[in-house]
Amino acid sequence: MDDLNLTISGYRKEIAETEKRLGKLRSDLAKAEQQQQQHRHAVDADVHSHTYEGTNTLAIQENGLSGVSTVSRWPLEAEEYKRYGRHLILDRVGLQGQQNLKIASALIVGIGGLGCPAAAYLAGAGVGTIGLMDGDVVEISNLHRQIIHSTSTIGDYKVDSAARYLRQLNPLSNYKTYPDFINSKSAIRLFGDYDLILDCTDNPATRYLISDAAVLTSKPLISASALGMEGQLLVLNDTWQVKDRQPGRYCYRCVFPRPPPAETVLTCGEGGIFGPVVGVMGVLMTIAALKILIRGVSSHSDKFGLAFGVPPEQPSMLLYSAVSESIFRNVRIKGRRENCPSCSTEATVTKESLLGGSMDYAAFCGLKNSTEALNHNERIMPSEYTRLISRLSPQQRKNIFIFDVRPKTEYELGHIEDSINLPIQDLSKSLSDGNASIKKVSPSPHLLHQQGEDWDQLCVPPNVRCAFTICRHGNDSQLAARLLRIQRTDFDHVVDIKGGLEAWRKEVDPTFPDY
Amino acid sequence: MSDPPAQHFTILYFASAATYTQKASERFPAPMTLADLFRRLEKSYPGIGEKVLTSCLCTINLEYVDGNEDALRSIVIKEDDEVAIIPPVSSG
Repeated sequence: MDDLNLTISGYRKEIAETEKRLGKLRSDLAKAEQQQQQHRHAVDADVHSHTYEGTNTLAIQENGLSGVSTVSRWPLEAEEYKRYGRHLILDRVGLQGQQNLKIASALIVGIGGLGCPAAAYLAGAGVGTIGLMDGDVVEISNLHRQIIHSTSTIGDYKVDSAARYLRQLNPLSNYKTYPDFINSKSAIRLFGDYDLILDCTDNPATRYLISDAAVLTSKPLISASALGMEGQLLVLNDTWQVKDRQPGRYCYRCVFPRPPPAETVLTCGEGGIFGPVVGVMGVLMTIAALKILIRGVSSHSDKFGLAFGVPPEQPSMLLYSAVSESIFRNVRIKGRRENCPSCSTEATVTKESLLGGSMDYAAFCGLKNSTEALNHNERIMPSEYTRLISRLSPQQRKNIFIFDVRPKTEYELGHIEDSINLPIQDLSKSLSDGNASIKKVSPSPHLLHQQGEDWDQLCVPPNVRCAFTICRHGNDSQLAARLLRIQRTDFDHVVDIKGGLEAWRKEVDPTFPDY
Repeated sequence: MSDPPAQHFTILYFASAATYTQKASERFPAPMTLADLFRRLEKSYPGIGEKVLTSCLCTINLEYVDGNEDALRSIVIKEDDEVAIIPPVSSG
């Protein structure tokens, strides 16, 4: 047995070391590829400065792919006619459209479910410079929707993983990577370098920040989001929205002036996401972005005609719902609010406030109010819980209940033996229904666990009924403990299992499904 | 969704509104002012006002409606109308 343990730990060590070496190799490869890219663009820029200066001399150009010298006297390179041929022949694109794309730049913030398809189509279309920003690394749970990452790039920065894919897809574009999460300073600094921004992030605070920075740097912003089976798409701050002399631009704050309460906001990790739904939204973002870049960011020419079927001066938001009878709904929105703090004449959000860090987006979205819902002595670690249970007699165990408050679907993915599924939503609902049996009680008169005592020293007295609550990450279970205390006066104690099933997996059962 | 029965309108719930009500849509008798609708929703789904409606976009027949007090009282939802409650979605 000891031998086997030794072998296993040997393998683990070797795998860890190999992974480390692999990571280093990947990062070296990314650097080398970036250098190669920069070199190629330096050569390209050289060639173009010759052609565009109107010299009649034929520029000799080094073809980056084949290494064969060719003579160019056409606006695009030979490979570009071939590569982009299928959309070059469209009336709405044409040579001018492709040239506009070639000199255009777009920054994608967030290289996840939205950013992956967006990046792929922007690169495929030949957008000259694509900025990729994300501080996250690739995880296996990303791969069902984040289609340009792969199993072999798990653990790499998403921006590196994406750049590697995109260089394979289209080596003619220039890719810049920013392996950081966006903040108000970097937003203001970076947005200035790009023609258009795509907001592919995943939380309200960042969405308000990106919108403000796009307004302050006068950049069109494509903002989309997705959760579950639904998605939303907004084209914000587009100069094209300016009709005649009427100020027509509007921003994210104009559409959603008040952020949703923090506790109601779900991430894809919490609420779930159907892969192709977020894919559709990312692709729709690219269509909106390409329309602007093909026409030229500051141009008002109307090659594409109406945006999403309504005249652009009528602000709208596109809703997608994979399970609704009407899959797409285009709803008319208000447009610019006269008192918008960001984009109106009464604006109070300034570059200085962003650069100086005085804009507190987390506080605006109510993120700083979330504190632990329970006291220290109302919670127990998973390992303490199992030790406590193991000391109980079968009689005592009959008085112990463990409630798993996750939704039924998650409970069915795997649960602790003997746990009872009691979804938090049902709990909250039965409380708001005004259930007659509900009697508000003060916290338990004889606390099982006094402050400062060790759980391990405690025993459950006979005839004392205890409820434990557990959820995925340990947040909902705290709320559930509160609610149970109010609703179920038949329990003497209600205790939260701290850190949820995530902690359970670390401390008690490493095989518990990690989804 | 089929057409609502006579003298009713349809309300569609998106994102967190659907989560809160546990419904994608439902029907209410028309006519009704927007203020009455919001009161009715609060009664059926206590807390929905604060948790969902305050940050929502609301449309009637795909057209934006303003959520200020005066507007709520003056806007009347008619038979066959389609009201949509659209909270912001931020994940992606």
